[in-house]
Amino acid sequence: MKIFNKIIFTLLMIFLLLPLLSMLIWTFFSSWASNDNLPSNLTLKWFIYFVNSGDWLIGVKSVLFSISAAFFSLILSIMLSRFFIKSSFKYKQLESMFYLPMLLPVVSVCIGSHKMLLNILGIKGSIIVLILHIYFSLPYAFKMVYSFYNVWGIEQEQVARGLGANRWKAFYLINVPIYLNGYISSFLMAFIISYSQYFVNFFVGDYNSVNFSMIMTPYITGSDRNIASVYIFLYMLYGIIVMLLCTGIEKMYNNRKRNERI
Amino acid sequence: MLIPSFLIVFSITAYVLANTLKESLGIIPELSLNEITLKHYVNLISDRIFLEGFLFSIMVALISTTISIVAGTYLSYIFSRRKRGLAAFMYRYPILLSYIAAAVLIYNTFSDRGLIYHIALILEMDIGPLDIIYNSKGISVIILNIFKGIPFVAFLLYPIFIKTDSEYRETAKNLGCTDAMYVYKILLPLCRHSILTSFLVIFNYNLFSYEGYYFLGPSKPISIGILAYNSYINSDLLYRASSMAINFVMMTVSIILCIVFYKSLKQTKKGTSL
Repeated sequence: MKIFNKIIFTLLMIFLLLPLLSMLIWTFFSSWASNDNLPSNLTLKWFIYFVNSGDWLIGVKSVLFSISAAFFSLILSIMLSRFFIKSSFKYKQLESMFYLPMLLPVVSVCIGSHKMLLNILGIKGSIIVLILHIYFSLPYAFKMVYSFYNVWGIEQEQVARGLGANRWKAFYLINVPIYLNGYISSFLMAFIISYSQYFVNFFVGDYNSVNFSMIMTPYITGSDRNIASVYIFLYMLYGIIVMLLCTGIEKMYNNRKRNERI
Repeated sequence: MLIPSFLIVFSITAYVLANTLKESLGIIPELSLNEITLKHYVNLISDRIFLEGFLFSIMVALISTTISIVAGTYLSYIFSRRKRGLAAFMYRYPILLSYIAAAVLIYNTFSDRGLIYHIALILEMDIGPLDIIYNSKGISVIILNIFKGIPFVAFLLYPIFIKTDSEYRETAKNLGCTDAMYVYKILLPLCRHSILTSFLVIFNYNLFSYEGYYFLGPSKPISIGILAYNSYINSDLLYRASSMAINFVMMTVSIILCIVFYKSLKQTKKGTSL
């Protein structure tokens, strides 16, 4: 039984990790002839291509865009969860409605709302794209923040208000230290959802909202696997940098708090 | 507090539903179509391409979701038993990838001259031509969905397994429970709620996704998401109504699925406490 377990586990891990290996191979090696055992021709020329063609700027822009979308959806989900934690029972039915964007198909939402968004906002494509990104990443952020609120409650903040703190101070000094972990993780979730969005940008966006996923597509449909691998490598790198920054901010904040206490 | 997010979510959802229903019934004032007809739905029912695509999408989504749920549950159970190593950290990387990036990785690995081919050459095996990408049975799409689905499920279930394992394991062992019985009788019922929820989310996404089928799927039978998009951007604007009809069918299917799952969740919740 144990051997059986081990075999299945290794097979699953191989299935999950083989694509990563293929990415690494074709990022750094240009060719692998079928009569060679190992890939040959180590080059970095596609990285140079990535820098020279100005695509790195599009990557940075798309990261910043996703950060702003995630930030907005984090704020909205904090407001929503505070509303639901305070409100009476009859509003609680509304809560399930906010999970609906998680389940509606992306294609039909984009096609259905295309006309309205064009009518209201004219040709300001990036605002439309931002709204749709928030629409799709809000339920994930809300679910996480709300589950944290369900665990810890809001009573301590109310006590602080009762002792004479104003609204902002109670939020900043009591709420943020308790919930920072949850806020950071839901921010990252919303960031990932928004960062990996393709169809929204492709369908409703204008030339300003070109995404990291979109600049990959010509190389993918042309099956240029070297450039595609390099782009995916950098895509992951950008995402990992944002994640490390977020966890770094959390750690710094916690350290500062601990030092103050001592 | 409620109003901004309510405005975004509710206005877009309501408008999408209303507009899709209206245009699928044949009322598009911009194209001077003003009569209510049901002919687009009737056309859809008699359309062989649509029916084939619908069945194909359901089959692919069902197979890939089932496999990824089972494998993801298994993987997170294994990871909750052993201590955290590099593997427990590495398996999560597909969550970060978008569907397109994952599609490229799958293409590089499983295509005709991909990594699998080279590995087989090194091991001196003869596997012949690989028929995985663009296969008309949708094998590549299934592989892509599994590749994205397993880490998602494992990531969702891992905290629950960690929490319950330490609490219940010793007690169950003391009372004479074997390992297999412990998993079936205690662990799986406890996380049934999360498993059902993730099943719903993944199934809904896989059923109507666009990117996977577009980059790796076959051109016949065509998937339903691509069919809706193709008929929407058709240069003959009269196709819009039929595209909206497809859209409305998609949305009703997902909403009905939601309601069914919501009901079943309510029933299962009574028995368990998590």
